[in-house]
Amino acid sequence: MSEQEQQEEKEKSGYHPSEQAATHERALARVVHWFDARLGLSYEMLRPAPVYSVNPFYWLGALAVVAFAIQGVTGAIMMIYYIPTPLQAYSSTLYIFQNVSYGRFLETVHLYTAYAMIMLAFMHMMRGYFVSVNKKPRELMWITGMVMGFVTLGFGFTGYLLPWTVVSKSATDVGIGMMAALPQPLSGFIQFLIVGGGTDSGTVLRFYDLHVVVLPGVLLLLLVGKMYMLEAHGVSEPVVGSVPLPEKKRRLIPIFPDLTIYLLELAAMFGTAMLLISLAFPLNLAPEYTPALAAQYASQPDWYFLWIYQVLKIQVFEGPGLTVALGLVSVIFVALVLLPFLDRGTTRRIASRMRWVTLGLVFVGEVAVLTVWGYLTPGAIIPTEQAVLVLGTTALIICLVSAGAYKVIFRKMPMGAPSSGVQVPGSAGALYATRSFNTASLWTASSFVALLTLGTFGIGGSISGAVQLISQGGSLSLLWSLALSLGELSAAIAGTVYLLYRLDLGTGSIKRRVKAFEVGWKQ
Amino acid sequence: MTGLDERIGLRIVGLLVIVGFASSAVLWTIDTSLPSGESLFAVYLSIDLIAFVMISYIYRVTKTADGIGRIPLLAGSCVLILLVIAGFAV
Repeated sequence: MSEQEQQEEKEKSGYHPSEQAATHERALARVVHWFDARLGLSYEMLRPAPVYSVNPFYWLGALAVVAFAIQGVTGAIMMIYYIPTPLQAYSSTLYIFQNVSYGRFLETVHLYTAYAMIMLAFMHMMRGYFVSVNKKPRELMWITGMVMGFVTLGFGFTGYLLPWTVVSKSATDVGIGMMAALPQPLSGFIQFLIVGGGTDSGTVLRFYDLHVVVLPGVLLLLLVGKMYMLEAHGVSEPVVGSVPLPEKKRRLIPIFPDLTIYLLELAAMFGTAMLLISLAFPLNLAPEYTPALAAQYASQPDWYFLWIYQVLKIQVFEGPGLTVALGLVSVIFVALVLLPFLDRGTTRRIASRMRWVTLGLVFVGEVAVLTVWGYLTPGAIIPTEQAVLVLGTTALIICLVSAGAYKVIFRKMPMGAPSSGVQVPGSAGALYATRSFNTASLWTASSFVALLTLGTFGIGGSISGAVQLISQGGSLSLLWSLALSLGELSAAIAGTVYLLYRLDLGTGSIKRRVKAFEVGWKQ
Repeated sequence: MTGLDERIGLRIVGLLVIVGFASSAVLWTIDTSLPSGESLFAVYLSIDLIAFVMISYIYRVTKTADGIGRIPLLAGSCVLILLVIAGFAV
């Protein structure tokens, strides 16, 4: 309503302020304007959300924040009783269990909510990966989210030590030992941050400080940054096919009350699930840590680090190979952080991103297999051949299933430009999208699977051979084995490059053509 | 949304408000020193939360043309009934 209309409305309603009142109004208006100009109170601060975002998959990150809030509340209550010293950490935790009203329940909710937060953060990341939300202009949102994920893992790592049980202390010692194998100066910095002088009292105090002060602060700062970017860009559009999203789904709804109520519904359902799970599976406190008891215990980290630990338990990575294993895991994390700059394709459609989608599925599958495997084999060293076989077979099966699914699901689907506005006209993605998925025929998918298997065995054998060569010295059989593995790896790389070239011929995106690679190719 | 659905929705909301108030009343009366206190607390707080979820769901969908879905209401009602039974059992 314009000012003139407001004035007319006032006159109609018989509103005639006195001269003095008008002066007051003007003064008040000036004060309000002064604050408004600086705080932006009258600006539209929260943009309305589209109807398609009323979907739990859009709010997995928000649920992780709800979990964080629940942990904040339960943790704050526990802080009243908890004493962060090696002598009193266990006894104070036991006191909460036995003497504080609902103390055991509080501890259980705190732990399970932490697990849920980690799981939700992982699901949020993988959902973002598969629907490719990291594309322009959301690259920094993705990177911020990844850092938030690492902070969430940091919460798990630092909080796990605090009860000072034999399980938690042994698991933390494993983690600290793993970090000690990292290259300098990273190793030194982390050691300084979490271990300090090396005494138990120093370590537990640092972990407590990180858990209740530093990490929550960092997470809140990152959350503010991510919320700001979400406000700037809005929620990402759904990945749709050639059929445009119906107008009904694009309709905007206000943040308050519509979306707020929906988010409260989700939060209440999540809270209920946490309450009931905590009720059904109450936490049992393990015995207090003593070096004698720890010697009888097969130490291993909590489930969310188990996949990394299982990789480190592979025989080839024992001893000097540990740094190589940590390097490989670090490469995975760095690749995830830099994903927006690695996945440069312009399309977000799952149908057009077989390679990335399959890679993501392989990652999820391998993490799941390693976690379950680690849980079933506590403390056991894994023979290299067995690891290569299990991980290679997992990758093979996932690739076959993915290739088959693409063949069946997307075979007859027209590859028109998506309505999400992400597809850039004239781009490689758009050209690719005009071709039927039949071109990526079954033999192509099978070739990828075969190459992946060859590459997996090649990588495993090469690493195994190189580490043995360093640790045991050279022998003819070892050199022969290493050469064979390197040959496998080279063949896999060369075959993959050739296959990718052949596939990209269809998109017209190749700048430097190699005639030798185009035998039998017909435009 | 049809008028019939809206009338049913209003009646269900009325029932849910009563359930919510009743469970809140139980929550205030729980003896925290009893071992069963934790279980009662979790169950009756869950009843409160589910009642809230159902009320807000009905409010939210009443504003749209979709109408109140039978499956979400049935699922919510089943969970509520199970929780009430569990509340008596613990």
